[in-house]
Amino acid sequence: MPTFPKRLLIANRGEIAVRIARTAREMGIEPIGVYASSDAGAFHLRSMTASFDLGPGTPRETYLDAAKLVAAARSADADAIHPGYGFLSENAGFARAVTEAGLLWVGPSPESIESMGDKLQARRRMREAGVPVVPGSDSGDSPAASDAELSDRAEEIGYPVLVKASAGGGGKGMARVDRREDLSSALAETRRVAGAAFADSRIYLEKLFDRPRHVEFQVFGDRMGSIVHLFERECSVQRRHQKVLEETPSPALDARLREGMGRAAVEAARAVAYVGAGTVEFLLDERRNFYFLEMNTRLQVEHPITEETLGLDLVRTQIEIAAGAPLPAAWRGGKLVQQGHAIELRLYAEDPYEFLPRTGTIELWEPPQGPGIRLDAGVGLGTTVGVEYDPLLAKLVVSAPDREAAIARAKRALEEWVVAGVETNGPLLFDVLDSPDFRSGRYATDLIGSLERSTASPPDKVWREAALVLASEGEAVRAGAHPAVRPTTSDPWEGRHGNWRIGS
Amino acid sequence: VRIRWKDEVRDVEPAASGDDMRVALTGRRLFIWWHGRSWEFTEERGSASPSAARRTESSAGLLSPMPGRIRQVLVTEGDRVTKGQVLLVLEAMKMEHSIRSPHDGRVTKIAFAEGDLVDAGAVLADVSPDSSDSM
Repeated sequence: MPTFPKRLLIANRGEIAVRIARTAREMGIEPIGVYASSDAGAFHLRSMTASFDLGPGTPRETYLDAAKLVAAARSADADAIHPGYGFLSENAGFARAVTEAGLLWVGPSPESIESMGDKLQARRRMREAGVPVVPGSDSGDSPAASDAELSDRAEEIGYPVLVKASAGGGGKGMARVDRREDLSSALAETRRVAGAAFADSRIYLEKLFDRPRHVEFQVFGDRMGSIVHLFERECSVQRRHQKVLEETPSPALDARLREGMGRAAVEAARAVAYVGAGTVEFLLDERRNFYFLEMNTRLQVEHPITEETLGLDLVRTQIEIAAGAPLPAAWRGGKLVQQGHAIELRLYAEDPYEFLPRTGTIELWEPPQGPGIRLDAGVGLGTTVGVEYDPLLAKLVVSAPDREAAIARAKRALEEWVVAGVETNGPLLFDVLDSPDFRSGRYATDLIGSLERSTASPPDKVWREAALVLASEGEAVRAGAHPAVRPTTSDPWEGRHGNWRIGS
Repeated sequence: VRIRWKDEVRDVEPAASGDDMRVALTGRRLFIWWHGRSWEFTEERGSASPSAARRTESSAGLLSPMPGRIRQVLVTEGDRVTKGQVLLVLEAMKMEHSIRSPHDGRVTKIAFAEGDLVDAGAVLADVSPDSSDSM
């Protein structure tokens, strides 16, 4: 029997730190938190049994400092580290440092992380494994490197093309080129950005698909060499190349395509001897050809929709696998079947029209509840949202027997959700759910850009409602000077005082 | 009732009966949530006319579109710049945003240094246009 850790240091913050702490507690493992001095009141710390100060400074000097995290784990007497996502989760050096310190690393091997983190190497290994990759400048015997070679390859691939940094990811180090006269400046700019941001200026070209879908597969491997997939997640609803809403099953896949992509995902993971939880991302073109895009060697933000449709806890399995346990027998036996439909909505602190970051302190917070609702939140009443960290406030995950019911449930839940003090992308989420393209299931990564958006200003009926409340009951409630939230009824006078819930 | 939403002030006839919306009052602020959107209103008590309450068009310079930290300052006061040239790079929540010159001209003000925190709406820089395209 593998020995499970007793104290797990969670090298992260926000909703994912809370998420991991919950599973740790259910397994009888003590969750240990960390924080930057300036982040001492952070929401995630209230989920931990103990928390360690990483000192003053920027994220680079705290949550991204491998040595400080390992030292914190030592002082906390922790015997394992879970990196969450982002921060150091895909840093092979950190994985090595954790292992060399004699701690259990809840993640894949440093070698797997390195193979997939280097996009050129990953693409080569995928081609060798027979997994289709997006056509690019590296398809021949030797990858094109000089401007002249890249320009020739761009002609072969056909414009538009995407210039990508080999070490890039998450939308950084990427440039779209529509015309050949713009290529050389884009090559220079991407090399410069890549050199500055990743200390690796190698670049390559990829064919750019105009209306692709992003569909990813959750995979899992164990130390005995078993690798399985846990079905797909549809991730095409994006802004600024970042996901906003995900769903599973994908409305774009039928059983045959799912089987083919699932098999390719398993082969991709096998090619790098993958252990633990990972995600293989594919592009799906309009003719339903799929191409390997990249592999995320960590837990994914949107993992809950997989959990909800399979009745699993992926963090628990991550910890079990890290401790040396095999994959559950039912997974290896191909007995998993998804139940119903799940949608994740990411609530970001951002302006819902221009998608620019917003900050503030959460003054009112009433999350949705009821059947089929799961909320993974990294904030609560009174949390201050600053500029240093990820804008993700919370993930609302809804489950229902079918897609239509899940959409109706997601809209209901969004309407219940009371947030004030920080502007959020709630209106964008609602407009996506309400759009004919999303409802039909026939949408691609251009969905948000092509939405018919409701305007920011209040409709007339909202102005009149405001006037009604301010003219009538305003005085009585204002005297109390407390937050109060209530749904208005068809009769505004009936039981009005009784319905105000006065905060304290 | 005279009501303000952001910079807009209106005299509004109250609805005859309450609609299916969620509302909250916090002090003088009224929040309404409806169809996934939310708005914050305040009642205007003063006698200021609606138009006078509107913000006058700012000519103070380049405003920060978001709160953030100054990541890079690429020009200094007195520099000659061209339209579209990046003057500063702002970073917030892992997102970088370039502040570009709106016209050809000369940098007359850089209000912050690298590492400074700025609020949304803060004046970041000013570029006085060349006389030829000041019209």
